[in-house]
Formats: sequence, C-alpha cells, structure tokens
Amino acid sequence: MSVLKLRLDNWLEGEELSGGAVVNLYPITPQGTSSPQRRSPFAIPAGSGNNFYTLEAAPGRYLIEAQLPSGDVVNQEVTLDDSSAPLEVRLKSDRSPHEWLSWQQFSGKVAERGRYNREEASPSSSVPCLSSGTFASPFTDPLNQAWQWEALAGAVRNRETHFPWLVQKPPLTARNYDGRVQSYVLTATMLGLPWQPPPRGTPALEKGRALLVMRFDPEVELISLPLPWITLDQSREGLLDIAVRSVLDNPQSPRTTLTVRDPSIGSALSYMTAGSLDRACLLFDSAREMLFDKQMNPLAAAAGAYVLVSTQQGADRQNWHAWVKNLMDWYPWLPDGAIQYGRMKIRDEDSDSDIDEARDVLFKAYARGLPYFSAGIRWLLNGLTIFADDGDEEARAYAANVHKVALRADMSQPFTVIRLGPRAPVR
Amino acid sequence: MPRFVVHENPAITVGTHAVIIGVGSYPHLNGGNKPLCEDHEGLKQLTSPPVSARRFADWLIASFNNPSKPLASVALLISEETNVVSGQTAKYTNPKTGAEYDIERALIDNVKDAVGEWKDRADNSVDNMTIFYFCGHGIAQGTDASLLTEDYGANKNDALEGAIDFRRFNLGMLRCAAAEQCFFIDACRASSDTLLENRDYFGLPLISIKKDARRGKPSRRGPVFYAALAGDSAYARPNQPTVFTDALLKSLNGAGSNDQDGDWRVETSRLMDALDYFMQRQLEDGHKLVQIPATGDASKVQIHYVANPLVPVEVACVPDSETAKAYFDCQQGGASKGSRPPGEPKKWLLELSPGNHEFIATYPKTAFKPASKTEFVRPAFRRIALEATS
Repeated sequence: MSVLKLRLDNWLEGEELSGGAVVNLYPITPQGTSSPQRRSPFAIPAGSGNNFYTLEAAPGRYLIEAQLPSGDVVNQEVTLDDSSAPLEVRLKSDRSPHEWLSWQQFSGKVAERGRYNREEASPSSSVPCLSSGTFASPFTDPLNQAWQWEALAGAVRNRETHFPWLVQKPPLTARNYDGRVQSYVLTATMLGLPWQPPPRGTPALEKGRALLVMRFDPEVELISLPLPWITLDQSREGLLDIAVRSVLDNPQSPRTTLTVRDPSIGSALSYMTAGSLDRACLLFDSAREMLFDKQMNPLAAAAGAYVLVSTQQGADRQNWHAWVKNLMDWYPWLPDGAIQYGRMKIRDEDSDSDIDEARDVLFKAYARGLPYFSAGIRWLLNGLTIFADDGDEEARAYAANVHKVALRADMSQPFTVIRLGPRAPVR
Repeated sequence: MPRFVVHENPAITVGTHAVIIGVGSYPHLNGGNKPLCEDHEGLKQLTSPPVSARRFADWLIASFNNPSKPLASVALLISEETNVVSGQTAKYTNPKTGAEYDIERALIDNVKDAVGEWKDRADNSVDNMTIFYFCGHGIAQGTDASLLTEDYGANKNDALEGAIDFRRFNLGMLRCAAAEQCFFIDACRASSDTLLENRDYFGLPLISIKKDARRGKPSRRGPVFYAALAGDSAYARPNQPTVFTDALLKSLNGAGSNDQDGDWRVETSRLMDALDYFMQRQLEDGHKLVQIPATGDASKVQIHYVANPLVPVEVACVPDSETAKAYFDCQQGGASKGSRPPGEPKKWLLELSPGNHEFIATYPKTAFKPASKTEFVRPAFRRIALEATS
C-alpha cells in the first residue's frame, strides 16, 4: 500500500481547521474508468497549518475532489507509486479578495477575488454602524420570552427602526474596511459577556442574550450572536467573524454575515446552508462525542442536531435522539432544542400522544423566544402551521407572529439574522 | 387518458408521477392583454417557461429511467401566448407515442385540480415517487414563496388568489403516501416588502395540511431544488428553456450523477452540486443570485439512472489571459472529441463522457510551447488548466 497525505492550503488568518473540506477520492482504473473500490468521503485539514489527513491506498491513479464550504470545488489528479515515501498533496484554494476576508470567502459569504473585483463596486460615502446589545426583557420570567415574537412581529408590521425592547450599546469599531465591506472579529469577552455556557438547567444567560444591531439608515438588521461559544478542540473562546457591507451587489443580499471560526465545525456550519447537508453531517458526525457527550457547547450541539435531524433516513431511533431531548430539557435559554424535538415528534409521530407532545413542545419553543439558528425559525413556523391549519387557534396566533419574523429572516445564513427596517432601494 | 395527462402507463402500479406547470403568459402583468393589476411588482411576460415545461416533459417521457420507480404518468399545464392571447388551443406531442394532446391553461383552478389528481395517483403506494415542476414567476421572501399562475392579479383586490402558497403546499404534500417527493421550482425572485407582508394569504396551498398526515407511513423525503438566479434575463430566452431548466436537464443527463452504486445515478446531493456548478457559471456571465427559501430537506432520493452521462468540462490556459491565443483540442483513444480555434477569451466549455481524455493547447501565433495532459473526467464537472509557457 502507498500513503497519501492531503490538506487544503488557505490563509484563514493563520488558523487551521481540523475538518476543513470534505473530499472524495476516486480511483481510476488502468482502462480509464472509475473504480467501484472507493472509500467514503472524508474531511481534510484546511488553513495555514501543516496538518495532513493520512490514508493508505493501493498504487495507481486517483482523482481528488474537494468540496469547499463556499461551494467551490478543487480537483486534482495524483498517481501513487509503490515507494515507501508518502505522497503529500496540498490543494490550493486561496481566493479571498483580502486576507481579512478569508474566513468569509472560505465560508461562501464573500465572492472569490476575481468576481469581487469584477463586480460594480463604487465605495459608499456612508458607513454602516454596528453595535452590540441585548433584549431588554420587560417581563421577569426567563422561561417566558414569547414577547420577543410579539415585539419583533410588531416591529416588522409597523416598519419600526427604534425598539424599546432593545438595549443597544455604543458602536463597535471595525478592524478593516475597504470602502465596501467592514470586518469585525468579536468574542464574548470583548462584549463583556461570560464565555462559558451556564450550568445545566440555568433558565437564562447571565447578562442576557447577545445581539448585534446593524444600522445603515433606514435599514436595520438584528443579528443573534451564537454566544457563549467554546471551540470543541481546545476549549477556548470562539471567535465570531462578521462582515458588514456598505455596498450590495444585489439588493436582496444581507448586509451582515457571520461565521464562527471553530477549528472543528466551522466548515460544517457553512455546509449547513450551502445545500451540502450531507457534508455537514459528516463533520458533525465525527465530532459527535464532543458535541453531545461532553456537553461543552450547547449551541454547537444544536447545530449538529439540525443537520442530523435533517439528514436522517427513515424513522429508526438513533442514539442521538435522546440528546435532542436533553438539549431541550437542560438548556431552557436555547429555543432550538425544543424546536428540534418538536420537529422529530411530528415527523416520526405514531399516535395522538406523539402529536399532543409535539404541540406542547412547539409551544414551549415559542415561549423561549427567537431561535439562534435560521433553520429553527423555519421548523417552528412549519410545525405551528401544521397545527394552525388543522384548526388550532392558539397555534394560529403563534404562527402568525413567527411568520411575520420569518418573512424577514435571512435563510441563507446558519444563524438568525432578521431585517427589521425598510429594504435598500434597488440600484 | 385522465384530464391534464399527456403520458400514462397504466400497467405501472408503483412508479413515478409528475405534474409540470409552465406559465409564460400573465394577462394582468406588464405587457399582458388585460388590465394591469396593482400588485404587478414590475413583473412582465416570459417566453421561456412554456419552452422549459415542454422540454422537461419531453425529457421525462423520453429519457427518465428509474427501474424501481418507472414513469407512470405526466400531467402538463401551460399558459403561453397561443392559448392565452391568441385564443387557440396549445398542443403537446408525446415524444414516445407521437400522440398529440390539447394542453389546458395554468389557471389556479386548473392547477388545483391537476395537482389534486396527481397527488391521488401517487397515493396508492409509499413506494411511489412524485415530481412537481413549476416554471414561471415566483415571489419569494424569507421562508416563503408564492408561485404565480396565469390568473395572478385577476382579482384586483387579491392578486395572490392566482398563486400557489408553496410552503403550505409542501406541507400539504405530507398527506401523499409517496415517500419520495421531488420539487423543482424554477421561479424565484424577491418580493418587495409590501406584497407578502401585508397579507396573511400567499396563494392556494392546493392540498390542505393535516397534523397526522404521515401516520403509518414512512417519513417523507422531499428535496426541493430552487432556481437561484435573479432577474428576467434567466427567464426571457426566446425559444430556449430558462437558465435553471437548461442546467437541470444537463444535470439529469449526467452532471448530477454518481457511480457509488456501480452505475450512474442522479441523486439529491450530486444533483445539487451540479446545479450549483451551472449557477456559479452563470455568475461569470453577469447573472446575480437571488436568495431562496431553502427548505433544509436534502434527504437522499435516487431520481434517475443515466446510461451515458455527459460531464461538463472547462478548459483554460494558465495564465488565463492566454486562453484566447490557444487552439484547443480534446481527444479520447485517438479520436477527436472537439476543438476550438483561437480568438475566444472565455474558457472552452464542452461535454464529455466519463473517462480519460487528452487535452491539448497549441499556440499558432505565439512562441508558447504546446501543452497537453491526460485527465480523468467524471461528474459533477472538471476544470482543466493547460500551462502556457514559452
């Protein structure tokens, strides 16, 4: 057997992803046909480090196909001989318009260099303003955050741009700006928030839920920050990479995009929204123990659960099903666990009691407020719609509020971003 | 033959049932032959959707191949200038039988009847597969999409009476026994804030929702494939299918296939890869992407088996600036598979069978050395770079 070592080189501001890109390795027969003797897709490291994914393979020709989180594909053919020296292959994908946008480009939020530079891009004379904030809960019960839906639906309905329910802090300072895109890198500590998740059963996050508010008059975007976030590999504080656009190539595009620089599952979070759920599943699956057994990062576990629930084939009970219920029971501040459990209950229902439980759980999710993930908005809306359209008046009232918010949700991003102000004029 | 159906094989008890809707003529939108509706949103008449719907029907009837779910029925509705403005009957000729059918218009009442009958045909077995294809105007926002039928705007007080509420329709289809349900939506464009938000009504759901819809049935696998290109240029290509449908047909013919089971099969994940590739290629021609209300359902469905897949291949020089100077040739086993003379600065695009191919670049008017390499071609696509060195 020969040894093949694979990695993907990308600047990523000096960081390294252990699961950076999902690769297919296709053996090529001497007759020039593809061989059925192939291995399952696997993840290779990506970034500016020096780590390789190492595998043994029979001598011969192979086609490497790396699918990047951005949707880009890198192909390369290699020939393995029967020498004892491993063959090291460094795939290249450095196509970011700036080094400081490399995470955004790698995750598909910013166009690759060529298209970025081709697009009409007269710099803007005005600059968006980004501030952090929290919900100013007008009610003392941390387990009843249903008012968030009512407040957000009202803001959408009335075209509000100032919100009594929002505590907004002074503007943040961008670390880079090229006249079109501002870049921010934030952590919980920088925002004065605890960086570790609270103990199990804690009803609410200390110091409230972290939000960002982007204002670019008259537009307003509300960004739910996935904090607290602990990286799975090193248990360090997660970095949030945020880009804010002053110039939009398409008026429908969001101004604010967010990606998490997590070495283990950063790519998986991007695959979640790129029509590559099976690739996200592979990465989450390999981090299953860290996600679900170690309980280090409830938000990352919720991300993994969205993908696992979405990609499950058939109704067979999986060992992670119990974990979805745990997410709901142990982290009341996280609406997404209840949404996921409700979705599973409806999908796999086999009795009226399953249906009743699904209804109760979805109502519980509604009471917990805005989900952290955009998929949660969609799943909650669809779940409530199923009951509402079947004549359930309470579900109808809840669905109406969720729907108002869902129409302003940016479904192209994994984390919840809601556009509250008027839309930008069409250029 | 049942109403709306242009192809049927009654001998097939478990198979694939399709409904295809193509709307190009909208009397109440700009350029239409009836009063312009208030909620026209700047939408115009389209030329490509009727062509696309016919082309997709042709492909299904002539080429669709799924041994475990053979084609059982195809229903077709089209609104085009012929049957909407000129008052004639639109025709469709079945490519397999040669039989000619009168096509009914894609009015919302017809669509409701056709979809209901299609759902009922597929309801006899969980092993059936359904295919829903819509091409025309659509308005999307956030989680929702309204698909506009011919009579959009006919009710001036509620334009969306002539529309399909796709999110609810998708939920309603949980009632259909068929466990595999594919939705192809060649329609998306963004809404103004006012149209959808000012209403609680987004169109007809076509099939009402039931909370215990799948009791006793396997979970539904229902991938949705959305067109993601913005603007009319993707839909107004005279006598040509839309950009998305063109990409869809190319993907079904090979780019979206994989051979992990030994033969070439088009399945959800690879089909999404192929469509994404074709859409990305359009960006290079100035198209822009529109946000799509992704459903998050990417469950694996094996849609089609391809006997001889065709793989899109891009050939260019390194550096790219020398591409226009190259004479390109492609050979397989000594036989030419195509060539392109100098003068074209864009990449050379061709479609090839899987396998080894030799790619050659020569430079007739420069001192660059000829470059060649043998590369393995397989779906979803290949990019070949030939060095231009002196």
